[in-house]
Amino acid sequence: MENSVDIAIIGAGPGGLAASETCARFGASVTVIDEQSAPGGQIYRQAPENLRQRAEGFGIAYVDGVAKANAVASISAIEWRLGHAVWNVLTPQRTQSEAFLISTVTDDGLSEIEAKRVIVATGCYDMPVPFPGWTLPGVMGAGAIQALMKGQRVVPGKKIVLAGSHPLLLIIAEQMLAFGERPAAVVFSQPMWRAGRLLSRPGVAVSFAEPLAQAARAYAKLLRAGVPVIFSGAVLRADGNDRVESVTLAHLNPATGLPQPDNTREISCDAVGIGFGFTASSELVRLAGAATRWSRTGGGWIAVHDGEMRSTVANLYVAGEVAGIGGAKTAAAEGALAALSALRDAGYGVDAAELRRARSNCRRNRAFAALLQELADPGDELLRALRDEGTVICRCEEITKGQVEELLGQNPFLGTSNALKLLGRTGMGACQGRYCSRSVLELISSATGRGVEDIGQFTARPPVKPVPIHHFGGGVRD
Amino acid sequence: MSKADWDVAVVGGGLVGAASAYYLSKRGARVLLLERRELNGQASGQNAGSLHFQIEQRLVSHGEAMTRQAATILPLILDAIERWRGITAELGETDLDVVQHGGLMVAETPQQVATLERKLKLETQGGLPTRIIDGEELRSLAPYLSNSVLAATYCAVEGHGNPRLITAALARGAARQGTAIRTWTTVTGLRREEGCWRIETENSDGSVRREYASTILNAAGAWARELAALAGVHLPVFPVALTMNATDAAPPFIPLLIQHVGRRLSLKQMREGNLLIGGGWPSRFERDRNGLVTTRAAYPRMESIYGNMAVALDVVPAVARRTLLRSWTGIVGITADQLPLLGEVPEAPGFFVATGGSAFTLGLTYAAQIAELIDSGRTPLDIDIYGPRRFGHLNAYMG
Repeated sequence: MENSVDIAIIGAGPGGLAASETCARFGASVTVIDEQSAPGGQIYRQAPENLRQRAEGFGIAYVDGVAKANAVASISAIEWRLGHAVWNVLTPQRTQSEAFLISTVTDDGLSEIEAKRVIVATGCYDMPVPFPGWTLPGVMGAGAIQALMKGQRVVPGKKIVLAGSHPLLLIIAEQMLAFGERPAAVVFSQPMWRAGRLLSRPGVAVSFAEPLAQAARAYAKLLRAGVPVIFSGAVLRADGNDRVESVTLAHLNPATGLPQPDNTREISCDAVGIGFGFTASSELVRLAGAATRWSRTGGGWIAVHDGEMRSTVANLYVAGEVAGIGGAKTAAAEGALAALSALRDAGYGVDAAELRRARSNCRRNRAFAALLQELADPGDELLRALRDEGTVICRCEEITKGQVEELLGQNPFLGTSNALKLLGRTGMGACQGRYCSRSVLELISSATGRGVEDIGQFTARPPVKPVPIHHFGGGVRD
Repeated sequence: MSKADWDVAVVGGGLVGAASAYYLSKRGARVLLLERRELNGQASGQNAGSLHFQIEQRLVSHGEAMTRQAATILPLILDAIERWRGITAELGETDLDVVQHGGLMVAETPQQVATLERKLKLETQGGLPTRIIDGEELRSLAPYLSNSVLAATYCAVEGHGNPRLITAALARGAARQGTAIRTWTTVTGLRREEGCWRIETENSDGSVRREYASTILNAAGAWARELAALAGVHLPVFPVALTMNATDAAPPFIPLLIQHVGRRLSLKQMREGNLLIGGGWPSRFERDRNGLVTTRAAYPRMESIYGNMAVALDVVPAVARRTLLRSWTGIVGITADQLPLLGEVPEAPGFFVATGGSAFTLGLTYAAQIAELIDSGRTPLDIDIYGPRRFGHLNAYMG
């Protein structure tokens, strides 16, 4: 307990950074933990020092974000645990002490951090969308492509197809152009008019002028560069021998939004980035026993909070994507608010006006996030139509949709994600169900008619990231 | 009796409940299987799946008297060996990952070797084929064991079942024979009425039902005490939360079940290549003002994960090349005297119970015995000493 810090912040993305800066400003002792070796999270992911050239290709927001991250990193009052992957969180109720116990693993071994309060700002990952060929090397999440570009300054292909429904695809394609690579195509499942209809709502265009202008600029740049930007389309399958060599593109029926099997064409490519949206990394929140709720368009299972970022577990706070996909600005706003709540609960004098400003900042950003979620939503019907019997649902254990359906048929009493995991191994692999949880939920729902909350999610288990067992021979460092 | 809708209502959809429903319906009984959540959701699906027939470490490490008592369980063990051998074919399944390639109980100190010898004597008397091996023979049988292992007792019919698969297969078998299965159904009341049991149930959708059964079989495992209380009797069964761990998959290299006579370890390799590592390391229940919260998942203690991994590394050094994928908790029911609890409760005619420790290894046997007892009033094995009668002093003033 004497060693425990006032506030531990898990995640050094925009949410965690804003939280840590706020905590430090109030003089609280704060430790920030992140898997990566530099702060910034996914959106401001930094390259190793010898590769930091051409950062301006990611745009001014990235350059500013990285600078900001590094400025926070230089605050001497903050203790940094970078390169630390958190694999377990025990609440004070469970450690039977006054402090949370956070277990981490690094390349060198295990360590533990005790904290009186914890802010979870663990972000999100590409929403996995199974379709035939999605496990071929070269097919990846659009966010993963961006991570390679930012983290390694590598564009993983010469003929990349970006496909999905998220406007981020435009930004990634634009960044590729800046790195001298021209994407083979950018494919959106929505009809073009959908964006227009959303934007024509009263007030929308004015309130969100800046991100809209950014997307419009990217679109214009792509058209000028001759990149085909296709609407009402979807990648039906990816084919190739050792890696992806082509994709089959289908035109979607304008009335149903579903693929027209007789209206397809093949596009040759060497990599595919799929971007239908993001899934919240809420596993630590769940592991700590805090409530989550299902948000179909907002990131899957997201943390329940009280409007001031308090989770349902005392002294555990959430910020950013874990509380619903919202982007960097929302995360930063919520990180600051989570910190103010934690500080106030710890007895620090938080100015009422500052709290009010932080709350309204969150509200404003969440309004934009809601619009973006609506714009990016591909609809479950389309995602369902993309997978066939043989499509792998659980990548770790290589279980297909057909196998899952067969199990559900043979075992009519099977009605939860956990029971399917137990009987069918979906979610038992190294990813702990990150890849398959959404598909599993939908398959059980289709087979049984049960509601999402009844079907539930895989119970989060430690370690949420695999831990090399040889580390257990070496004991624990503080 | 004509009032009864069912001959037997089995409460608890774990291995013992599903197997009892299977054996009872095979004998022609009209069986209702009730489970408040999902089948196989608790210890039956969460345990490490050992088919351990050698007398357990926890039983030989608590003095001579208990060790002798433990030896009385050997007739059940001999029955279990044969049942596991036949269960896949009996259920008409092709592969339930039931493997009986043998098992070792290892010793790392001379004192532990002495315990092995003492245990071996009891096993030999009881007819369990076990022998001590060491030196070259041990190294060639199990080259993956560390040099710290001095000797081991070898039992050729030990192995593992797959906790993921067996209960579901038993439930499918029971259903084929006419057992009615109701999941998400909680028993809320049990009352003796006109020679049979009135059962009140509540489904998770809120619907309630009242029906009648000639006999109740309490197969509620760690929750057997609560269920018995509904019928107005005490059964001293206590929930105990244990930690299990799974590694990533490796090419097959450990065909045997590995246990330790002096430290907490069970280790085996499953069909898919993952190692399951356990051995009785404690997890923790949350507590509230009412005491232990046993309806919510317990969680592994950090000390248990570290400790269990450390023993595994000591005994099988190659474990160091694996990654820990998952640690979890199973909640088992243990009786006050650690022996099985098997039979009719004298103070509550028609109310039977089948539970107790080692209910994975011995689950099929418990179920088969209790099914025969319910159906014919007799059992082939002498199970009198496991009967609830031994706790009669708790129920002398109940009713």
